[in-house]
Amino acid sequence: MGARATLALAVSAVLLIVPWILPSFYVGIFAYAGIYALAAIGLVLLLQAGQISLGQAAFMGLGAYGSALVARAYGVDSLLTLVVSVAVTALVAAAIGYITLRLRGHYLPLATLAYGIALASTFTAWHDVTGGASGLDKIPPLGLFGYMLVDDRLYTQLIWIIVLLAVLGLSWLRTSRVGRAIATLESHDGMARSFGVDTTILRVKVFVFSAVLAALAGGLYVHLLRFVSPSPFGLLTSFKLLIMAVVGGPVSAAGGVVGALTLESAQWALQDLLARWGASGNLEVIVFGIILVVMLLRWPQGLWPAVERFLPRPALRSREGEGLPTRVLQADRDAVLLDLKDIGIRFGGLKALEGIDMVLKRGEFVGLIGPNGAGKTTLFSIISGLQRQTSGSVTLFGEALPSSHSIVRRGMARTFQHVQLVPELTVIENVALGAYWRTESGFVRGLLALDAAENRQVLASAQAALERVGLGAEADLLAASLPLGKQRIVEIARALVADPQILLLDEPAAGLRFSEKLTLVRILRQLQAEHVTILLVEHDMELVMGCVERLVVLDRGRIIAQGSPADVQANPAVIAAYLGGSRDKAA
Amino acid sequence: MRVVSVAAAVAALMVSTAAMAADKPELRIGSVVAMTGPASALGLPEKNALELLQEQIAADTSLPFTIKFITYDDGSDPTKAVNNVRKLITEDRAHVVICCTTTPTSMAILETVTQAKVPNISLALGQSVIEPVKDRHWIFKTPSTDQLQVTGLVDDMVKRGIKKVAFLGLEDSFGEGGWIALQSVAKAKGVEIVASERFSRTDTNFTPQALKVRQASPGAVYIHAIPPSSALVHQALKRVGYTGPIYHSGGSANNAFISIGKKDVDGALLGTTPVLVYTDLPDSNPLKPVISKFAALYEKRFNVAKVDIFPGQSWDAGNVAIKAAADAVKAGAKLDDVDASRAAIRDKIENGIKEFVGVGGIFNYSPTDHLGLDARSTFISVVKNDEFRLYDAK
Amino acid sequence: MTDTILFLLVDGLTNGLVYALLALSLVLVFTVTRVVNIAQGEYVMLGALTLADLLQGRMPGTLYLLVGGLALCVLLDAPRWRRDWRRALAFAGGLIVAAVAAVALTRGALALQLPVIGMMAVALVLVAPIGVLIYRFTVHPIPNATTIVFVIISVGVSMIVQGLGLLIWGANPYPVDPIASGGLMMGPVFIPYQSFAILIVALLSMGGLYLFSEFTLMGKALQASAMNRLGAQFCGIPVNMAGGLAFLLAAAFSAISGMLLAPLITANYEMGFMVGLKGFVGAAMGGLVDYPLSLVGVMIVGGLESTSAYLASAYRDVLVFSLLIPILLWRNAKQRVETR
Repeated sequence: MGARATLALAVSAVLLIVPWILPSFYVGIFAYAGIYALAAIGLVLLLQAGQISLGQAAFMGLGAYGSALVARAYGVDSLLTLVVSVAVTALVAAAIGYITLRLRGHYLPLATLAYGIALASTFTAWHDVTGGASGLDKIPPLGLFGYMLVDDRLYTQLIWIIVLLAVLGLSWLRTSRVGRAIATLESHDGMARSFGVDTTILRVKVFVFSAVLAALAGGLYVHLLRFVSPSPFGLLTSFKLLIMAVVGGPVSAAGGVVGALTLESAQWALQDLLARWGASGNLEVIVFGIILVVMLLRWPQGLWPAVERFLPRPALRSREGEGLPTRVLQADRDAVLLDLKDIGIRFGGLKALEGIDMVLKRGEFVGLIGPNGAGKTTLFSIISGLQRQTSGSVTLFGEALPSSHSIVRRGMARTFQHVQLVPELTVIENVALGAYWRTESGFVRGLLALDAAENRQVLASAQAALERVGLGAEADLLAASLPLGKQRIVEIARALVADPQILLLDEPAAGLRFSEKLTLVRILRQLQAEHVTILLVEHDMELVMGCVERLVVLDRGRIIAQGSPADVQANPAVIAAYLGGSRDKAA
Repeated sequence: MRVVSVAAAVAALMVSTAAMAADKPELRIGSVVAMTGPASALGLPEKNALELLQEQIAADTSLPFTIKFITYDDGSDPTKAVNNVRKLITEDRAHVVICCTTTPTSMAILETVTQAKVPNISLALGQSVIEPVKDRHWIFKTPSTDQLQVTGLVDDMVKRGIKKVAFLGLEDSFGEGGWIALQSVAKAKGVEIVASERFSRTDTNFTPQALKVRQASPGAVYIHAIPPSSALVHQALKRVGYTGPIYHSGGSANNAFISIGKKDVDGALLGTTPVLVYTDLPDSNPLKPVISKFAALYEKRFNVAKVDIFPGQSWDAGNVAIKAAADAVKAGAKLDDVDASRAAIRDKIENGIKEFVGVGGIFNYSPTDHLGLDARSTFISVVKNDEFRLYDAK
Repeated sequence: MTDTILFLLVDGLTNGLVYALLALSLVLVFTVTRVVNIAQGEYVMLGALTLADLLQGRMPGTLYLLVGGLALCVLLDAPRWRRDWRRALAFAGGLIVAAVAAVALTRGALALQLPVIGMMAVALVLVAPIGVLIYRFTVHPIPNATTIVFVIISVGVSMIVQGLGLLIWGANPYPVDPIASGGLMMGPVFIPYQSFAILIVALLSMGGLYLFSEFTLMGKALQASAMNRLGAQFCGIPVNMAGGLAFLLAAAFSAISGMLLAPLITANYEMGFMVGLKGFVGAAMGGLVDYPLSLVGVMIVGGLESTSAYLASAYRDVLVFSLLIPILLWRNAKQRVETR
């Protein structure tokens, strides 16, 4: 057992003993802190995925009302109603998430705010069922088969067991296949889709899980307080949960716990202090607002990194043994793999590409060159499904181009001109993303750490790929800590792990040192020998001319020349384009 | 965490030695009111009155104990109310708890005070806080109930021969209390409710609801809200052409109602406690001197033009607690024995508070009545020339 | 039946106009700074309460905020003292002069007992700079933060400003005089003059913004920053100037909206937040970037609110905020082309 795990176990033991030794008043606070921690953990996961919810408390409310109302009205065991109510909340969240999570950026917070208010208003308005604003008392305590959990200390311990399990599960998830994919959601959506992550569905899953934690928290809340009314599930609680997530640190599930404990203790300390100074409670909201703003301005990572600095590093996940099986490609050099017909794209009035016809055959090594702004990267985006052409068609392996996250499954992988590594992940984790489509452990398996065997294979493949590109020693560094040149090579390693038949390379040599370029060329030659088809965009003419079999030259969105490197070099149109004289010719 | 409990014990020890040094035991009155949140308009005056009481009582040496007031905020949130009440009970070892401002918060703490066996005096309006009495052994309250006030108003409607009434209320627990009361009273008195509309304090437009109510052609409208919305709804009713009588709950019985509603609210009828109309009471009414004294004190101390009904509720609650505690001590209760004295104080509230003249009325608690008020303490007031006047001399 | 519709329409549109000024502020702030400003509604509250104070002859509590904010500005400037004390001194001096001028202006206005319109102008001068201060404190230090970080920050700002509002003004509502009292009978419907005033002021404000952004250099700079932040920066437009200006104008518009609204519903510390959110629902119609569509959006919100309050008053907030979902789906369908 690693030092970290031992420490975690010790802290858990303390947290579970605490309810039995605290004075009874503090037990209550500790219980509610645990409940808020649970909901805040859900928010932390959302924030990690680049999402936000200003309606988290509404899901708490759904969980609470669902369980309380059924248990109260029909005398069903409340543990069962709690489970059912969490499940129903998950369904509601899935529906809401499916609608709202397709929205990107600024719509999402608004949407969450809106359903948060709408749900909270419903709790009040649906008076006959919910008891309205006055609330309902006589909610049964948590119970199963006649056993009633009425001891506050025992209840508190139960809450914290659930909190700790959630933290444990999420820390497992974090290093799993799905966890790595979740890390891409914040700002690498296109890259994630290129490697087979259906980001929309994954977002919905994250959202649903976060709502499940909230609903569970709400259910635990209501059977502890044994009174239900709408006010604890309003906007203010959503804001409070957000503050907890931000203060604790939206980088780790443990941050949610730290945040909840910090904020709850701060709240009680502040109340005492204010009472002593004779100040009225108004200041509390102001102080919390200031804490929130200052944290985000100064310490956007929250308190958790400061805590984590003193902790032993987590044990690395095993990467021993065989990697994933790779496919052997046939040497059928006549098969057309990728066929572009009359591709055009317009941005407003600007024709970025027009009339592009191009074919890639198996095992071909084609260079795509052209001056800056010629449309090379746009063409790449179209081929990899991240942008849709305005006219023309793309055929991949004889079929129409599938949606962007399915392309890698067909056998096409790519690198990016602007390096798209997830800075918070280690190098090997970034590379492992390449194998996403080749593995299948899902969200739940990740949570329960049932993915060990598969994950070991993935990491073994990733390690092998890193060694192949000469970065084996850097595997466990954070991606952000590598110099740009090495980051580009990591991109190639990631594409290799995807086991592609077609490889699209967007300026892989930019910023590379000479020795690194040599490695790159060596790898490219190897790949060619393995019959991998390569399409290379590159400005380093020496490298391009030395490698490729065929060149395609783009200028101002049109193909101006195609052919062997020697022919193209001699083509006057190409010379004119590169010397800037093409304007006259085009006119 | 042991440290905490040791520290608490040490602190408790210091407190008790300090009390001994003063040669008198200490009565601890803990209160939790909504100083912030939606109910802060009620909670702040309540806190003020407790402050005033503390200042007034400090000079009083005739009591057999010194009094410590501990006041917390619940932000109108049930969770915080429960935690704060627990704190009062276990940390501050309060003998009596005064909690809480709103009905939901008062409901939420029932379980806590009942289990801990601590007398609680609620400041909420809702009848459900004290009934059924057998489940509410430890709970009392000082504000008149919606039920009591609405009964007075509906009686007046019946007297005028009105058969149909429409309801307009806030969508929070306050408005709901009015709705519940009106439903039961109207049914008992044979008045039909022909419309029921809701609005919130932060709404910007009340015309649609007013329109709907007018179209139900009621003989009278009952508005259960607080200013500004109660006054704004009243104006909206006038604007859409409703001309019948408009009744209001005690929630509108403050000066903001008139300063917002201006001429439009002239003639509005309010079910209220005596505070609002005490100047119009005959000198023979025992309430008059008590309220006059309190009003003068409060208005001077907090520099307000005219006291409204909320501070009187916590003032009464504090006084009831002190009176009961004094009786209990006289009967031999030892305040240092917190558990026993809590029970003794509860018994004295239930059985010892008779014809007790407060600001909100004349209290007679009994084992079957934890409100203690009767028709002598409810009045109807009418707005006349920008002032609240007594509507019918009782 | 017709008078019902007429009533609902008039009031719905009046509310729509109030929300329109909010929506305008939100779009302005979002396009220039990429901040989804949840706190925008709080300027409504500040505007209304400042006006209430001025009309009742009191020094408005807003001055505390303004002067305190300026002082904090000087404090935050402290690191510059060692590097370049001359300019730092000039900066501090300028802010002190501004603070003194604000106080003097207020005193003058109170002494002269200006009419409502005059007091509105004074209130505007006091509230609008608070927008710049908040920009300086919360957006300026982290220019490259994500949308989500800015959203969370604006939640914090909203809590702070509303808390301060409660601290300064208390929970009591303050009645505010309308620009013109009385009203007009149009058929069966009584329309207060204030509704017309709202219409006129709202139209003037929108027209003013249009003229400002089309015909002044600063306005054009603002437009340029809205279209392309980086590009504008390369063209020599200081991004902070544009951002500050956007916050200033947005604060001004929202404050105006508050001052127009206050005579209808009184001024109180919690009046702004919901108004701000309803402005958001409307602005979402235009994707937070499109002025005309946002105006359509707020009118729909005003109309729906009015209608649902009539048909099912308990569920009116549920209906208004649920409206956001179809709006967003519609926006989404429009955006679909960009990705698959």
